[in-house]
Formats: sequence, C-alpha cells, structure tokens
Amino acid sequence: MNEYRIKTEQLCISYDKTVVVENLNVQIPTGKITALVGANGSGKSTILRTIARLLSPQSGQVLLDGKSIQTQSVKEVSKKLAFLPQNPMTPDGLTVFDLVSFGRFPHKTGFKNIADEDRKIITWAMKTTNTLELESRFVDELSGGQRQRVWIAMALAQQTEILFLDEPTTFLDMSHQLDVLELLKKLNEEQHRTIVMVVHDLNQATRYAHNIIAIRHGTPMCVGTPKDIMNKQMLKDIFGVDAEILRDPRDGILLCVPYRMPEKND
Amino acid sequence: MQEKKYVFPAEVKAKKRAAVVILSLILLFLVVFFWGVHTGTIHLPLKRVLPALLNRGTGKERFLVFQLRMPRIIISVLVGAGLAVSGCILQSVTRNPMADPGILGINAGAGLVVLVYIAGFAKDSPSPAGMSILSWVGSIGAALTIYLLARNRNKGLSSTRLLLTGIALNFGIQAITTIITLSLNPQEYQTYAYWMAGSLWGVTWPYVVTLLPIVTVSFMIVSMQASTLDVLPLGDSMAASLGVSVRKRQGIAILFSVILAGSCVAAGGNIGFAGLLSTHISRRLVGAVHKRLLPVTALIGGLLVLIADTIGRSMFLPSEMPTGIVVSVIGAPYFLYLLLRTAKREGS
Repeated sequence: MNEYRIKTEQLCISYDKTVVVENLNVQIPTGKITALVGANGSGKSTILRTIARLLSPQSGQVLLDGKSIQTQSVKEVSKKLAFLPQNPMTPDGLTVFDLVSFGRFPHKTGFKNIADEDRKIITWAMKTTNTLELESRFVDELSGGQRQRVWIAMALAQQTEILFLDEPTTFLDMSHQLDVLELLKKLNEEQHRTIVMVVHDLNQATRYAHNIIAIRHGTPMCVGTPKDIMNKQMLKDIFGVDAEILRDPRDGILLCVPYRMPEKND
Repeated sequence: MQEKKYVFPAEVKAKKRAAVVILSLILLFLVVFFWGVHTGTIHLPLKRVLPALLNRGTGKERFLVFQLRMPRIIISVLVGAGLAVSGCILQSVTRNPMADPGILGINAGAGLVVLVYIAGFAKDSPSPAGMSILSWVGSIGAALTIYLLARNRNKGLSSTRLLLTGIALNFGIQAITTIITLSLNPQEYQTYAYWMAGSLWGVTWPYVVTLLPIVTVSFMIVSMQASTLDVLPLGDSMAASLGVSVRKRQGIAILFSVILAGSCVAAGGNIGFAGLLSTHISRRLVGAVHKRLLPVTALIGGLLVLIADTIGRSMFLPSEMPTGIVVSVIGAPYFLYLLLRTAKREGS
C-alpha cells in the first residue's frame, strides 16, 4: 500500500472571497493517526473538509490514491473515506441500529435492502465500538459519549480504510474523551486504519497521534511526530501562548501546560 | 445456524410494527370506504352498499356510487396521500419538523392565481377544470420562484434559505391576495373562500384520471429515493460522506414534493394541514426510516383526508363542511397534544 494515499498539491481554499488556505502541500501517512491542531479559525476544519471532498478548493488539488478527489464521484470517495462531522444531526425516531445501518449506504445498489452480509458488518461495527447492546435505543436519547460511539460505528459500517473525524471529543467529558480516543487507537493498531482528526486538546493529540500538523492561518507551520513539534516555540507560534513542556512520568510523553504572562502587551 | 447470529431485535421489531400498522390502516380504510359510500346527502342503506359496489344495484344506486361517491373518495385518498408524502419529503430535506407544502408557497401561489381568475376572467361561472389547471400553474410557479430565490450560486440550495424565502414570499403573496379579495363581490368571494377552505365538492372521474398517475408515479420515484431521504436529515456533510450528491438529491426530492403538492392542491384546494400532521403521526408509529415511513405516511394522509371529507359531507347536512376545515379541526388538537407530550418528555 502507498505510504501516502492522500496528498494535497498547491491547495487553495476560500470562503466566498476570503482566502482561508493558500498553497497547502501536506501528505497524510497511510495507516497512521494524524492530528490537525491549531487555534480557532486557523482553518484546520476547512482543510479537513476539503481533503474529504466536502468543500471544493479554489485551486490546486487533493490526491486520493494518485487521482484528484474532485474527479472521483461522491460515491467512489465514500467507499474509501468516511467523515464524521463535529456535530452531526440526529432526526427523531431513529434507533441505533437504523443509524449504524445507514453506514451501508455507499455499498447499496438499486433497491436491495439490507442483506445478511450487511448485518454481519453492522454487528462487527457495533461490537468494535461497544454499542451492540444499545441497538434498540433511540439515538436522540443517548448520552453524548454513547452517541459519539454510535456515530463512529456508523462510519465503521461504511468499511472505509480512511477515517476522518472533526473534533470527535469536543462535547464529551474526560472519561468519554478517553473512550473515543482509545477506540480510535485500537482501530488504527488492530486494523491499520488511516485516521485523520482535528483535535482541540494538544495533549490528546500528542498522546494519540503519530503525526501532527500544526496549522496557523491556513498554513502548516510545524509538521512531524509529537516529539518533534512539541516545544515552547510551536505553542507560541501556533496558539500564541507561553507554555511549560513536561514529561508524563508514566510513559515519557510530552505534555504542555500553557500559561499567560501577567500584563502581557503585544 | 450462521444466519441466526446477525439478528437485530430493533430491526425485527420495526418490521413487525410496520406490518401491523399497515395492515390496521388498510382494514380501517375498508371500514371508512364503506362508510363513505353509505353516507351523504343521498342516503344509501348499509346493506345496499355491497351490491351497489358489485354493480348489482339499481340504476340510481349505481349512479350514486360510481359517478358521485367513488371519484370523490378516490380523490380524497389521493389528495391526502400526495400532500402527506410531499410534507414528509420536505421535512426530511429541510430537516425541519414544521415544514409542510404550504411553506413552499404552494397554497398561496395556487390561491392567488385562482383568485385572479375568479376576479378577472370568470366572474359568473368559474369552471372547476379551469380552476384546477390554474391552481396547478400557480402552485408550481410559486414553488419555482422560491426555489430560484433560495438557490445560492455557489452553495446550491440551503434548507434555511428555502424556509426563509418561503415564509417571505408567502407573506408577499398573501398581501396581494388580500388586496384583490377586498375588491371581490360577495358571490365571487364565496367561490374563492370555498375553494381556499379545501373542498372536494363536484369532483368527477376526469380529476381521478389526472391525479392518479401523477400521485402514483411520483410516489414510486420518491420511494426509490427512500434511503437517500434517510441520510439527508443527518446533515450535508454526513450525507455527502455517505456518498450522496446532496444538492442534486435535494433538488430532485423538492421537485417531486412540489409536483405532488401542486397537483393535490389543484384537485382539492387548500388542505394544508394534512402534510404536516400525517408525517408526524407516521414517524411516531414506524420511526424515521423512509422505506417504512413513506408508505405509512401516504396511507395515513389518505385516510385522514378521506375521514375528514366523509365527516364534512355527512355530518353537517343539508350543507357541507369543507374538507380542509375538518382536517384542521381534527388535526389541530391532536397536534397540540403531540407537542405537549414532546415538551413533557424533554422537560423531565
């Protein structure tokens, strides 16, 4: 398998007339977890959405398996890449089973209803995410953590090798954040899925990602392993904060503790 | 025993429930159908209903059943089913549980054109056929205007814009309508008001022959899109990620919603509430998966308008109560009850 199934070439993205991203060239390592980090409004979500073909670039291109993603149909892309938006909407009256079964949509042909093969995949997706016992519950009655796992189950039922997530932990409490991140780690380790996610918490990014792309004003300022990029200068450049870098006494992973100097003027 | 492993109670339950619901609705249909043939201005004794239906009645009975009652019954069912499916599509596409065909300006547009016709061209004897054709033109015209206004060159059709444009245009059309209404003489006004209230009076076979293919073909095409309609309410990003060409599919769905609603309003006048109400009842009965939701919505819509029309033409003798008003009278309290229940559930 190609080392980088996804690449961008001179990618420019604009909203109406404001240029958000200019000449972006990044590569996403296959079979690894990549985290996009950056301040609010840095364009990280926009980049994620454009790479997933949800937004059209102004110029330049996203290459998926060596072919421009814009020339591939939505359906084709949906068999290779699943995208979980930050806050997906849940209509009333949907059971967990219903929702996860929607993940089979890209593989549907014509009138065929859900077949046993689909049920097998749905079962697997629900077991993996620990949601099988929720199957009869209504999605809008679930807790935030359960719901996020159900959404991931749906994305898994899509059976794509690449999984994109836009802030998968934002609305969750600490314990459920860890559940989701551990689940993603497991998916990556056991099934070698390529995972690309926007993460707000830098410490979570360094703990769970192999590759970090730190974005400022639409431009990747630092790209590399957590060890490479986790330093005071990066925190200053990307997030505009001073920080202390510490080492987790348990496993040596680098952690940051941001602080604000009193009476700082810039 | 390999298959046994992949049974989902939720799926089995949903299927069973849908089967029970559909079967009960069909049974209820038969009952209401018999009642509808039996009741009305001209009385047909219950024991004569079956012979008359089997073409063994007297000439008078046959005329009553086949020329007067049957077309009206069939039209009620078609109008109800069409409006209900139209509402169901709109709610899924706009992700707004309050969306109904009226929001696309369909009723208002149809009303305006019919009004102009009555006021300007057919002062003495407005022809029902003319009114139908014109209201079709009016409803499609209004919907098209809203569609074009709501479309954004870059981003395609946004559901929020669609709703807001619909509301704005509705007000505009209503203002013009009011101005024209004020210039009508009492008799013209009555014709118009009667039409707006949603009346199925004077329906004949040509109406059936026109509406039947439109409703059935539209329904079949929409049913083919059932799984797309499942996915669209999850949001544009989610739907696109699942492989749906969102803008294109939304456009197609809205188009059929408009065709259905426009044709039904043309045949039956303003029976607006049916679309909103039927979808809510069906969602409650069989959930949000469209392969079950669409047929149940169609059945409930058909049944609702059939019941309303039968009540309207039998319980207020010697006069008739317009169907649209009966639907609202039945529907409004039930709808309030639904809202209160939801509010209670969310409160606790």
